[in-house]
This record gives sequence, C-alpha cells and structure tokens, in this order.
Amino acid sequence: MPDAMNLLSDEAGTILGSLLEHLSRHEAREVIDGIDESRRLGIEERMGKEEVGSRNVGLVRRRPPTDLEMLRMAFERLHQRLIVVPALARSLQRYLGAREMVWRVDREFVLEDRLPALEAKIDDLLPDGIENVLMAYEQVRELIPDIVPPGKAERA
Amino acid sequence: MATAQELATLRAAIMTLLSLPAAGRLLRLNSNTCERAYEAYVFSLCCEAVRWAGGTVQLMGIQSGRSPRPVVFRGAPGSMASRDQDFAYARCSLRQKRFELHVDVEYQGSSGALHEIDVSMCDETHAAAVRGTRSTPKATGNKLQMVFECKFYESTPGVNLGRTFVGLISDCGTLRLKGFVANVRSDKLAQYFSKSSRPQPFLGLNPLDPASEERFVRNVEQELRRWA
Repeated sequence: MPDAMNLLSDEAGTILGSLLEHLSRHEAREVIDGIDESRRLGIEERMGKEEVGSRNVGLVRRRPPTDLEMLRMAFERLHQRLIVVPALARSLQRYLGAREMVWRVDREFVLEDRLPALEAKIDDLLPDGIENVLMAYEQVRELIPDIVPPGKAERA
Repeated sequence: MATAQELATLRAAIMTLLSLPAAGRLLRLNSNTCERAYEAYVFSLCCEAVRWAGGTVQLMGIQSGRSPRPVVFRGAPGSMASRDQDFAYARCSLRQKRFELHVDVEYQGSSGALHEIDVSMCDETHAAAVRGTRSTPKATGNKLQMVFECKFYESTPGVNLGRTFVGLISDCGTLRLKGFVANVRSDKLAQYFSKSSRPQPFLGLNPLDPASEERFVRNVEQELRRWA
C-alpha cells in the first residue's frame, strides 16, 4: 500500500485544476456546477465573542474556501456520484426485491426533447464495470485519505 | 509536502479513476436522475419501516397491479391518478390500518394550492377515490399521514430548501411525521431544523452509513406503531 501524502495548498490547487479539466473534457457539467456552487457558498465559520466585543452582531461569517478545502469538496462530489449513487441503486433493488426499475414521466406534460433529462433506468445508476470504479477510487483514497471520503460502508 | 513523484502518482490514479467508462457514465448522469433515485431510496426505506413494524407491503403498478416489472418511478412530480405510465406505489397494511406510500405525487393543500411531495404516506381509501375520479389527493383531513422532502445534495447544503419545506407543511393538515431527508450532513440545516415544530431532519442518510438508515427506519417504524 502506498504511503498517504500530505498535500500543501498549492499542490491541492494543481490537483484540483487537473481534476476540473478532466471533468470538463468528459462533459461532467453538473458535477462541475456543484463544485462551483460550493465555492460560491464558501465556508461559514463562527467568530469568537472576543472578536466583536460588546457589539450586538451576528457571529457567523463566510470566507472563500482554500484550495485544500476545495479539493475536499470536489472529492465529496465525486464520492456522491461514483460511490453513493450506485449504492442507492443496490439498496433500492434489495429493499424492494426488484431488479428492473425505470424512471418515466407523464408524456402529456413534457416536451419530447426534455425526456432524456427526466427518464432513466437502473443501469444508468449501476453501469457495467462499477467494481473497477470502486477499486480505482480506493487507490486514490489510499494516497490522500484525509481528502477522499471512504468508499465503503462505515460500520459503527 | 508531497514529492514530484508522489504528485505524479496521485494525478495518474485520479485520471485512471475518471477515465473508466463506468465512471464517465456516472459523472454525466443528470442531477435530476440522482434526485429521483434518492427519493425512490427513501421510499424503499419507508417500505422497510412498515415491515419492521409488523406490517405488509405490496408493490403495485397503477396499470399492471401487483409486483410490476419493471418498477416505474416518476421522473418528475405528477398526478397520483395518472395512468400514462405504469407508475408504482406501495400498498401497505398494519393491523387495522390500510395506507399507501407514494413517490413524487401532487397533493392539494388547505390553501387550494398543489404541492409536490417527494415521499408520502396516504390513506388507502382516499388514494383509491383519487384514482377512481382522476382527481388530486388532499393534504388535509388525516388523508396524508407522513411527508418526506428528499434532497440529494451535489453542492454544499444551504437552508433554502428547508425553508420551502417548512412553508409546504404549513399548508398541510396534522401530520404524524414530517421529515427532511438529505444525503449529506449539514450543521447549518441541523441548526435550522432544531427549532421546535420544525420538520425532523435526517441528514447524512445514505446506504454507506447503515446507522443513518437504521435511525431513519426506526423513527418511521415507531411512528407507525404509535398510529396503528
């Protein structure tokens, strides 16, 4: 197993840049939008009373995320897409005791060109080769475990 | 600080991951699909809660009846009575109670406005009357027992949706359980829902956290036992 590494902020920035470039090349538009939205929302932090003295003001403020925090957020988004979404599909099949599931819309209310955005099947969430994704994800996590969320179920 | 070699190894590992065809498909999924899958997952946990409480669950298709194949969920909110597709719901019984679980159907609130409810538990007789008349279920008069707003966050959670949900339930009758369910934890949302009379938050509910699933199912189960 390779040693875990500690990234400095500028190193995290470089990795984040190449990650976003790759996502962009692969047209993962909504994943990138989620990452951008997280950047826009920033980090909320509580201020100490000593910082404001006796003034009657709110004690929560927002600051921009650091590159390390942004890289962590980006991997949180990847975790949701690559690990949680397939796990949702498996849970659905298990709890409902059914393998075939689809999402369809009432066609009277939807324009034909909107259908691809609204209709899906369970294989879209659980594509062939998903085991390879989990393995490759774990390899990344071994390198930066402080940044990449766990890929397997956490047992208490 | 990482060495140049370590950084190159990391970059290569990330590119290997993202270049896998299955990863590409997941990354290109539209967020609506993830949202709907999450709602269906919460619906499946509600079915599990009925079983834990000692009840029975029968999956139904509005056209095909028992055990539909495939199971058809709504890709967008719609009418409970729609027969345009073989939309699925769960017919449940628990002691003397008969009720149904639905995903993504519209209810009429006390103001007369229609509300889209992600996962709902509705009285069976009322739901049958709605299907029979192609009308809309009411969110008042004990017809609607439980509602869940489900959110699959793909960015940092804000409180906007929580606020919208609080507004929605204020237009419903007395509910046995009103839950705000999200795939990620959020201190901000937890704080927002900490005020009394606000919906119960189930934050960080996902299949990778079995404790979160158990907490959710137990809560629904206990509420069902108190009711039935």
